[in-house]
Amino acid sequence: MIFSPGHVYGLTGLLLFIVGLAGLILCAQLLRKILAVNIMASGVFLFLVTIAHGNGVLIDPVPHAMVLTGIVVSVSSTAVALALAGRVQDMAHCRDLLKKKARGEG
Amino acid sequence: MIRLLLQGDCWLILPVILPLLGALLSFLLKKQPRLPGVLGALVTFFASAALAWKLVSHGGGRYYLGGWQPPLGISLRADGPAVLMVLMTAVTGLAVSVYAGGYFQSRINKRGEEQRHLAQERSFWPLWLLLWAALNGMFLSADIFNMYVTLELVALSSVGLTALSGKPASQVAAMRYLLVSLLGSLSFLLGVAFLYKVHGSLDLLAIGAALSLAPAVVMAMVLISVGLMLKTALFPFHFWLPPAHANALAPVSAILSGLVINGAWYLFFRFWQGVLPLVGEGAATLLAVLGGVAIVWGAYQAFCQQRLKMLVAYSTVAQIGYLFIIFPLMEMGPEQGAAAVFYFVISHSCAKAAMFLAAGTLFLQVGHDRISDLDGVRQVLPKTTFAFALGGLSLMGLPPTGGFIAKYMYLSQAVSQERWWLVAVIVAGSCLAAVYICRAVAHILSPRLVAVAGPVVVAASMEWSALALALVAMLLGFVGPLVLHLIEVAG
Amino acid sequence: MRACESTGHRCGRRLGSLLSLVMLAMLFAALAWGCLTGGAPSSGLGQSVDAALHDSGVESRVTAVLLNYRAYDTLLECFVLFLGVVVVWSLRPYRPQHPDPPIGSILASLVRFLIPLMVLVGGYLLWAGSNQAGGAFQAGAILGGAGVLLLLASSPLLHVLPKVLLPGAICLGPLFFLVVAVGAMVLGGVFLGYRRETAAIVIVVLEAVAAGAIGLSLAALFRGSRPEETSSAQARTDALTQEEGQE
Repeated sequence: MIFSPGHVYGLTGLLLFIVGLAGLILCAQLLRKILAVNIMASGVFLFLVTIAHGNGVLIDPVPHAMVLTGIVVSVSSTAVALALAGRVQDMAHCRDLLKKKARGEG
Repeated sequence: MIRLLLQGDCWLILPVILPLLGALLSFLLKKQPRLPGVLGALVTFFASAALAWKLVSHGGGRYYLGGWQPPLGISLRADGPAVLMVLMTAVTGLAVSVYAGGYFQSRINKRGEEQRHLAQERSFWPLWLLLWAALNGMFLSADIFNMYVTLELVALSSVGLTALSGKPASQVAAMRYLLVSLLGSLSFLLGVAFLYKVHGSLDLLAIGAALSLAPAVVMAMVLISVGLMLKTALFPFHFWLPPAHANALAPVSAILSGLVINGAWYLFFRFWQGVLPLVGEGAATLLAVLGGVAIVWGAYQAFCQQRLKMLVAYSTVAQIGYLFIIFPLMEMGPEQGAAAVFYFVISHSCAKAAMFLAAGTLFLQVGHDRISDLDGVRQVLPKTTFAFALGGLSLMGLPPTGGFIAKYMYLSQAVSQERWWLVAVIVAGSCLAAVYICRAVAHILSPRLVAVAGPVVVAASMEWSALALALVAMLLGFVGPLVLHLIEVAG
Repeated sequence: MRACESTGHRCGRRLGSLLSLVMLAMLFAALAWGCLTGGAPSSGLGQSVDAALHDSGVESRVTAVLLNYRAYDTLLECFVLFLGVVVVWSLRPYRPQHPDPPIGSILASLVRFLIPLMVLVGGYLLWAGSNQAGGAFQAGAILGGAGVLLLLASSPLLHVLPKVLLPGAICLGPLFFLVVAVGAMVLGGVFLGYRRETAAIVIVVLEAVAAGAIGLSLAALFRGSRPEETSSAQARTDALTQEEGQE
């Protein structure tokens, strides 16, 4: 096994993936979970960019293109996740209001 | 143009681009989204049927997008299983589209909240057609990164459809579904990265031909398998499925349970088909054990449910188990195993979609879906209750339904390979399915007249489309040789 | 008694998180094992990309992959963005609990200064994409940023695009891409198969439209709900009460 400087980036990417996974599993708040997913995505992208350098002679553009596509997909899904989280929180808020109202009238 | 169509290659891409076009049109025509929606569904159905006809008459093939051969470009592949899935999606999708037209019209007519229902329909058609296009793209793709993109398209549109009902429970379920889906997609993508690192190609066939058990490949397969198992909701990853499927609108429940689940499983199957000879007994047995637990646990949970849609949703959890117990059987007879499991997939898709559509019709008519209060509903909706019962028969695996043929093929495989514990699981699963389905059917078919009052408010198209799907599930019990012939066409 | 229970509960949860951390560490070790062992990585597709670069119509290798060799991915990705907008617009009307702060004069004048600059940089990145780093996505991201700034400042420039035309504008990117792809199929026989002579111009036009569509979609995603829908908190609460009654 030869350990090259390139491996540091790859391992960092994998570590980010794991850190994000830990956040997704262990954090209770929705916003943190969404951020955790984004950290995981960044880890995967870093790993892909490391692959592009492969053996270091010729840089492979295909993983770069994959990362660009992946980023756009990730932006889109993050936007949906944030919008949905807003609705979930909004509903919890509304329900509290309703409960308060009902209690006040009762 | 006509020459182009007759030449034949473009048949492969049409089931993907036609629904995409339909989605754009139904998004633009927001006053009349139903017209382009149903039209798009119809056109896609015919394109898929034409693809199947082309496959049977001319054999399978590959289509190089942009004229670039792999590994540089992306290619589509048409072979028996892929086209069968496209055809299944077309049949179920067309019925669901017809149902959805009547469903939204009935809802708009029924209550005071016209605006809300109009807004729901306006979003339903683009989301559903995008989902359809993504599923077809997923079935036909031969490129693993392209599979990731279609997986994300499927995930996002399913989440949008789940959240469409606007009920608080559905929003929470959609949020959970989205997070699980994203986790699954990222795990899949990391697996794809590992595979690319080793093989320097994204073409599934090229990778499959050169596959070894190097550490990186093992990690890639683990990541891809876990990601797809999350999306397929195999036990113990099933926790997100019942609330998401049961709280969605009726046509959406049918789409999610009948089609979306199969999409992720299909990719799983494609990856495992290649590695199965390498991994040996252990991994396949592990999958089968998870599948067996899913069958028993899902059936038990289904039996415990008070709501009809929850019961059907848990029955999906159970039926997913059958999709995974096939893997140990495939080691000895890959062809027979594939035939059995694909037969199971298509009959389950039709039967389950029919049951969810029927349950949605009952819900709309009665205003709730508490099983114990559904007595006597057959007097108001005879066709719908018949469709539900017929779908149930197929799930139980009673002759002469498609479910019977599939389970018979499973059993004969398991017996000939002397895997008695699988025989036991299959038989027990069928008996348990009979118990929970009979519990629901006993109520809706009971002669007592309790809850039902008021005139019929549901559109005729809702009743007929559910019945048609249930009849297709039954018809699959008679056309076995035809389907098996389609499955065996090579790519 | 209750205190005791809650301590036990907390202990259990701490044990659970410790256990999952150990599992995650093991997963990392497995991933690292997969990453480090297994000999030399494959050389990838760099050489085949270079060999075909002459036929692709552009000089930048990444752009060639994105808009020619793997253009199908990029087409679907435009639909992912479009889908994101459809999903966000399909969610129930929503108003944040904290209203936006008033717009200061510094922000307003900064926007006036920055917007032309951002459009210029976006245009440059688009142009640069044909032979070096840059391209539709980078340009689209900058344009999306410009849109976000405009939204934050509630700039009058937003009214340049009437709200009625917004859905059409959002559709334009994916629709145009699809039309080009199908057009290539009708003319040349292959989906997305541009001819060698026309590839350069087709790619530049595609990139320009895609950049615009990406920028617009990003700004629409930032805005959240469908523009024409305004709802008061009261209406939302009423709707929710009705639904609760139905359940």
